[in-house]
Amino acid sequence: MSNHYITAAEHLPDEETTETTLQITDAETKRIFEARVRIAREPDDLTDPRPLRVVTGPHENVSEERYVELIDEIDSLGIDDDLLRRLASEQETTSNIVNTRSDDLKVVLRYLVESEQYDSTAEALRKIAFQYLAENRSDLLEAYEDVRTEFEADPLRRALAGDE
Amino acid sequence: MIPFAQYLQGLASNGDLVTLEDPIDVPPNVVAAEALRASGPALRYERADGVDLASGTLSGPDQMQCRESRPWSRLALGLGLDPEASLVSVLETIAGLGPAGGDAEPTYAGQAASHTVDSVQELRLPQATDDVWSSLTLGVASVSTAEGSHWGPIYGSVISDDKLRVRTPAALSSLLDDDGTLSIALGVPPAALAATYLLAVTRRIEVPVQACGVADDVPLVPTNGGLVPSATELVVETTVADRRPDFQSDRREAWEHGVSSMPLSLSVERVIATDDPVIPFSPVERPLADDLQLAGLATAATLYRRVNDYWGISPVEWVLLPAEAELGICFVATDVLYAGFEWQLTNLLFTFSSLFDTVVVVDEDVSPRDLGRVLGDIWVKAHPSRDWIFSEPSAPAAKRPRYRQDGTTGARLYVNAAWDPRWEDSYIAPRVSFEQSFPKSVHDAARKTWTDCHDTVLDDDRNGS
Amino acid sequence: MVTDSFREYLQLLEDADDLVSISELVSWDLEASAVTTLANRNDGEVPIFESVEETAIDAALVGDPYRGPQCRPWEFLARSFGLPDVRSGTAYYEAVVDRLRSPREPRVVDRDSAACKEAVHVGAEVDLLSIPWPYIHQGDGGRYSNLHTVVAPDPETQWGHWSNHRMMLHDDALASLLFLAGEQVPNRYYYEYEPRDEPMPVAVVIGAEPAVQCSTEMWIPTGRSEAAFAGGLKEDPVDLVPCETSDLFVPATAELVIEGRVLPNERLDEGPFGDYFGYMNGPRRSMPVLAVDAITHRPEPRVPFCVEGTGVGYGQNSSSTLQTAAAGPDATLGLQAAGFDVSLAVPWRFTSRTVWVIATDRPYPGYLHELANFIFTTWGMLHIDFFVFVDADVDPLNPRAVLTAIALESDPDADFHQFGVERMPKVPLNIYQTPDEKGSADVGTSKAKTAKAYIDATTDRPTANGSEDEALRARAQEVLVDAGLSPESFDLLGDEGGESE
Repeated sequence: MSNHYITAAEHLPDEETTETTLQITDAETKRIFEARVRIAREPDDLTDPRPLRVVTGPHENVSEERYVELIDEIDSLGIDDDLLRRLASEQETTSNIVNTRSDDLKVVLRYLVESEQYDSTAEALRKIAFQYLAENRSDLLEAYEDVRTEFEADPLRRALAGDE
Repeated sequence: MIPFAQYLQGLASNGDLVTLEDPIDVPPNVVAAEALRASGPALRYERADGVDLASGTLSGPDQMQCRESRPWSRLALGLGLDPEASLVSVLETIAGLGPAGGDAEPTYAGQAASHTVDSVQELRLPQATDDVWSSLTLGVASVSTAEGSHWGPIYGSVISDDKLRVRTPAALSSLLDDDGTLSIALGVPPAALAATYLLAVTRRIEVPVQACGVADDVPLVPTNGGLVPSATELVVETTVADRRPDFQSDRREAWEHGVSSMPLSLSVERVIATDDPVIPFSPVERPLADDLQLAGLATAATLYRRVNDYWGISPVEWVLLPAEAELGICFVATDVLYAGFEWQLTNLLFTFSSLFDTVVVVDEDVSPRDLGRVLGDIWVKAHPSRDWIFSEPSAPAAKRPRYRQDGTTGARLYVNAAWDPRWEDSYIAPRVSFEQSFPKSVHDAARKTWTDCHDTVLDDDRNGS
Repeated sequence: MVTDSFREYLQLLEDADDLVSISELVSWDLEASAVTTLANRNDGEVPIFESVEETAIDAALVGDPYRGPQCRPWEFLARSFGLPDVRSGTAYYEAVVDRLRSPREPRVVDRDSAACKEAVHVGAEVDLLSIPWPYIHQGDGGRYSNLHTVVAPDPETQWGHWSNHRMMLHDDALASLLFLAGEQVPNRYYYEYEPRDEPMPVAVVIGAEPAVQCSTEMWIPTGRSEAAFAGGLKEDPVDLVPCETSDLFVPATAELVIEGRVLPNERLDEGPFGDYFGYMNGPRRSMPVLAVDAITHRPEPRVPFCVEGTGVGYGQNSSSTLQTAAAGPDATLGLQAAGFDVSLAVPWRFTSRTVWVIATDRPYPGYLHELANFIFTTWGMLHIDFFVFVDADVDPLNPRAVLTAIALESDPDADFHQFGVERMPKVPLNIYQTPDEKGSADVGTSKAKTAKAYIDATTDRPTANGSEDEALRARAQEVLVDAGLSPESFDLLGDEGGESE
């Protein structure tokens, strides 16, 4: 973790403290990476805030000081759309059972069901996993969403293209 | 006041003058021109036969590269200033040599030139390569009237032992009677020559020198013509043989481009010189020639004073007519007070001088030592469409350029290479430079690293940032 | 002796005391650039920084290695091509044009004998930030590599097309490239690869030999390869070696090679950066992404960089020198080959690229218009805004002579052409357009057009003075050198007139 970050004003979300994904620079190493962040004027609005210089102007020589909370770094090479498509396609003809092979996890999930927080262990696992993914791998979920939309939109084209 | 010979010693002790000794198998004019082209030192020619000569004494290095000194550094020394003096202090000093509005107090001293020279030809004045006769340049002509003595620049050819053909401002020759007398002073204190050029360029030859600032500083002595500086190296006293002779001159000293001049045919009456005279000459019409530099500085001095007197405020930082542009382009650095001010300023400059039809406007923070930056900024900072402003072709043609000498009207151009005052500050792109591209801590570290591997001290202010 | 590698070139400089080695620890974060700026400004030796802070691989940084002396910018390159000690710019240009007339096809060498393959990192081992890329100016968007050759595929030659596009480093395997539409490689990317959703393979070659770096600056007609012209320059084929992860070829003696693909439909921030016209230029723009697949290098690579923006006014840097010493002769040859009566085409000393001076005859009415607009629609399109035409007997490398020609021969009413007419494209790399005029310019041209103009500084009247006797002038120069003046300042001295060393 660096002490200081830099980003451009045009990358900021319209509302303060909304989570957003943007390119951000580590002021010391000058490494530039994509991250999910929250930005605020006051450090108290954030968890583990770091100083953020927001540059603006035609030559970016005007700046303002804000604070940034780095939630998560985005995988630098992005999502492999081809892989996702292949998996989604395969999934159309395979079972959707996932075995966690964990006695401990099963006990905990069953506890949640027995205490009426969820209707079934499947539902519990679905909800918890999706919540985690939405918070930490939203890019993957978004990419998958796009792939799925693509599949649903054109079954005829897919059939003609000979997708399995 | 610094006499010419002493001035040369000053240049030599500054390492800015080299002495050449006879025999030299190349004409002095050619050597002088090469030294100027190479931005070399001033030269002194020690001759067994003929008067000693000096060239480049009122010129200097070109500004096409970063250099140790400026084109005006030598003249600054000759005017009694520090060679590092700023352009503006040189301009103001020159302007102060002109008409003093009644405050001048002339002084007089004995003639330093005490022994007679048999003939002008004995001097073996330099001869330009294609010329038939030898020439006399950087002369100060002095003519007497009831009001006092009047000075003007003079140059010309030595026709015989006692005949000269010269050119001098019409304003001066009009003061002469048919058999009037005129003295030519060669090797005058630099202040006197600067004053002479100033009087010509500002059309104030009618003001006697006793009433000019130069008289405060330069002691005078009478001659058969008028008063000349007492410290003059060589005086040629003449009478007018023909006030309207019919000859063409191949060459013009630079002051002539903006000042109407007349030919005169003179009879030499007497030539007197100091014991060991040395006189300056200029390779007229060669690049960076002394007369060109002096004409440029005298013109800049007068323009600078006039534009800063005009509006009750002084927005103009400096004015320069570089010798490299042969007086055809005027550069001005100014505070652009409001949009359109640059238009007013350039039109004023065109009104005050007929030499040029092109003006370049730069911001006030640009140093006159940094002509390189100006010559870059013209093209990157001025918008090729909006910041090159051409007038309608109904202006009188400028006198210095070689085109449009047929009396037809022409257009004027100014290039606005200053930031648009209507732009927000954030639009103004920061310059890449040592000062602006790095914080102070990095400056210090970098300087230390650099000086650790060199013996020389860094000259950070060389370009004025 | 002709140099075949960047290292040999550096040795050549060192042998003549034109290189200074700095062994104390220097930071890549502005400090190396600041020291280089001082060197550039003071016309000092080229600095090599042997000891750079925070670098994972043992690499040295070299600040503006191609910057030549202010009085004769082509001097180091002339030396590296084994050209005689050319005092006059015209003689240098003629010698280089002569070499360029005889290109030589490159030679492919074995991978095992290629110095640039001593160390090879592929896939997960790739870490761009292990190299001490410099952060060059305060306010830049990131660390940059800007003195390199981008090798890209070219359908008409197997050797690929070589050009220079600045590269901003992001992360271990990502960088962004300034691809301005209108230039050859960006055009192929935007209008061929990207619409097909196909990544374009490229290799960024850092620390290639001087002949390669020079030909990278040149505009080569389509169908020819820079590699062949590089061979012509040094009168010997350039050695190339295939890439590890693509079919491209790279110079075998290069210090460092970054292999990768420019991804279709991906963008990353690029800029701001202090660019060639001497000012910071922003804001950041979205530019194509280079995904890095492999890095290969020599042991202890020497990584050159250019303090861009210091090559204006009195200053020189690598890019201004390469423009004068490489692009100029190439342009001269190109115009002559296109049938124009040009004796010399050179960049104006005080800017880099924006203005060119062309010494030419004028064989027919309208000739200058044709010449100017020919260049404006070809290689001059993006970066050049002005031409100044002077007579064939005026030395365009002598800025005083050019300034005199403009002042005395260019009539504002008759000789300034196309100044007010805004119909040409302009890159947003400029400081005279407002942000609105630049627009969001994601492919590299501003929303608003500009004027492209030319000045006719040729004379309509014969010179009154006539030409000066050159023999007399040369003799006068000798007299002055004998009296103690430095021979550096003179251009007519013969061999016995003094060496510049």
